[in-house]
Amino acid sequence: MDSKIKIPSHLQGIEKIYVDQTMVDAPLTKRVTSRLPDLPVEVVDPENFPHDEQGEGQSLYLKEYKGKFLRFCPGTRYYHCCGYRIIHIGENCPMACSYCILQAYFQDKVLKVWANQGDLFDELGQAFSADPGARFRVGTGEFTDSLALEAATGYSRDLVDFLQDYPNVALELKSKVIDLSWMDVVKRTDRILPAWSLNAPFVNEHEEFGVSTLKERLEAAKVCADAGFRVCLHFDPIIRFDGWREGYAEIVDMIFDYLKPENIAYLSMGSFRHMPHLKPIIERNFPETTYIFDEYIIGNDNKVRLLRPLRMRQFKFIVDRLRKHGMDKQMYFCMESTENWQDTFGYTPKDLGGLGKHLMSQAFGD
Amino acid sequence: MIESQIYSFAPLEIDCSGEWLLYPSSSDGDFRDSIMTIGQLVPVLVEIDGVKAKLIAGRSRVAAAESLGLSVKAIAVIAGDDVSRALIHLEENRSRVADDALKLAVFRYLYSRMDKKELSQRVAPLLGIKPKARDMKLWLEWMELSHDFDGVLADGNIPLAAVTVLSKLSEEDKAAVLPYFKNLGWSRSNAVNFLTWLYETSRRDSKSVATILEEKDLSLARENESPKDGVARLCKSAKQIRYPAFSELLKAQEKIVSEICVGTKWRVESVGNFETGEVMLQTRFKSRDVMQRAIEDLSSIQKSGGWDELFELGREK
Ligand code: SF4
Repeated sequence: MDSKIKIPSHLQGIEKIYVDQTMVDAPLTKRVTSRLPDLPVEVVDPENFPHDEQGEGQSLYLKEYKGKFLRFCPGTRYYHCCGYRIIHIGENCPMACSYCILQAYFQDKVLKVWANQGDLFDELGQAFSADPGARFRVGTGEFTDSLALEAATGYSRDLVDFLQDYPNVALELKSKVIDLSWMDVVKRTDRILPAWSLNAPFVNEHEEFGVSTLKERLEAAKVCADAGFRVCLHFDPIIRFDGWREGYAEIVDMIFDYLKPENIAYLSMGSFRHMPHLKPIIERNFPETTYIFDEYIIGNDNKVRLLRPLRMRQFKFIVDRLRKHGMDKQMYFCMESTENWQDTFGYTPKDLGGLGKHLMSQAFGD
Repeated sequence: MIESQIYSFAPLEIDCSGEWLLYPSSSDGDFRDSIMTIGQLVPVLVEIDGVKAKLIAGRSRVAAAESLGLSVKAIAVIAGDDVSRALIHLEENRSRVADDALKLAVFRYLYSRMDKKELSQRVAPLLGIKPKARDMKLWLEWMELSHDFDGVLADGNIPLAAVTVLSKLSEEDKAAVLPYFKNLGWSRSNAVNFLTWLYETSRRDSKSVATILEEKDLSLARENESPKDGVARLCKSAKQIRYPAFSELLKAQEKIVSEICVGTKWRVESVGNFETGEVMLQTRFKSRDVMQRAIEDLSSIQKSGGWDELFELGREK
């Protein structure tokens, strides 16, 4: 397990490993350096990380993280948030999607991994065991892709293994790569939710780089479904482009070539939204990208989002198509208003008993 | 380097044709009078090259002396090259106000002669610009443009900030927008918005700005239209082209509101960019009578059927 690996294509840009002085003997460090033995390793003082040395190449930084590992997903008053909790395992991503918010958060190409897993597990253990009656729906894909570095770190596999003792926790592993190496340690397939983002083929081909194809994602989802898992799918960000109807129809239909509605724990939809300062970053990093020039407005959460009727047309189209394939209450919106829920689904989060509660039930398969 | 000796030259012995004399000559009558009554208080700066003295700073003093038939007091400096001559010239004129036309002339002159870092660190402060200021970045960006827009910048018709959009336009598109700045003076926000809306529409629709300008009603000037109205009209049109669906909603809102509020002083506006259907209602009063009238008006307009339409604007049921 910890011997040299064949480096997957999305990790081939990594040129160097940095390790915090305090993490030199961490099990994770030993694992990563033995899996990637050909990469140079530099031990660093975290106070003096050599930011100036960073060029175009990516590096992996095994770091001792001192902050909180378990966090809340930020929601707002006007738009319903799904009540998800984030397990913070690292920062940044080796892939490149034009719409990715991480570009605004991290200007360098340093892929950080929290190597003090013992601290992470201690914090999680305390939180999850404080009230065994309390259920948690958690995921790791907020500041990174859950599985992008899995081949090198085995992080999610460790997490899956750790969570065997916490049946009150459902873990979502959300990714745009295919890595199912964590599957062999799973004892309860009903507590792990493999998840993939989906989009219209045009978006996948023109706006996502270094990631898997839609077909590969759905094939992997089918492998999981066949193994007894229920999967999650995320249409996010939904984008308008010439021919978006055909594009989203194609991917919706494609889902059901691989999965049945009952294989899907939930499916989210989110229209492209971003902090205003992301736009010039996208323009600079992805000069060919044009969807950023669509009709966006500033929403009530101060984020830029597509004008309401335009995004509602897309939602309705996708939801109608999904319904024809038998999808129902698994579908939800990421950050939309009660009115938009009503107009698209015909019911509101309140009718479902609150979005957080509803998704909790979906995640746990109640 | 500078000598302490003061020389005296006949005005015609001084060569005033150097390209580094970037500040315009300020030869007004007051200056001539002052030299006539008090004399030349401050020597000009020259570089002595054999028999000829090249002027480095003090063109107005030389001109005044020439017109008065006086000799010119001068201090000799050793500059050596055009860049040093220009820097001394700028230093000597530091107290003068540098407008965009002057800054443009300075940067154009020095851009090909110095590297960008030096330009920012040595030249910018002489013009009252901090080396790391956003304006300095804009000037450097402007230097990458062809000279076509220099005239309208120097005339104050286009703001420097417009360079951020201009530099994204193709040569054809630059040529297409240039006439809009020939005779109209644009504020910073109007110019940047106008160009941004056109550029973004062109990217969104995969059409050149030139084609968009041709297809849409963006005529340069209309009869009896003031420049201010012309700019307002062009901005409004460009915004409509850039945001067609939003503009339609605004138009619908205006129509409904004008029907609801007719004959009253109430103003109604959708808030939040049609995200929620919320509206805001406003009026003003400064007496009980007017307040009473407003309350009566409100109770009458609240019966209008237009409200339901207004609350639903932007909704897709
Ligand atoms: S895979 Fe996810 S985290 Fe990585 S660049 Fe794309 S959107 Fe960002």
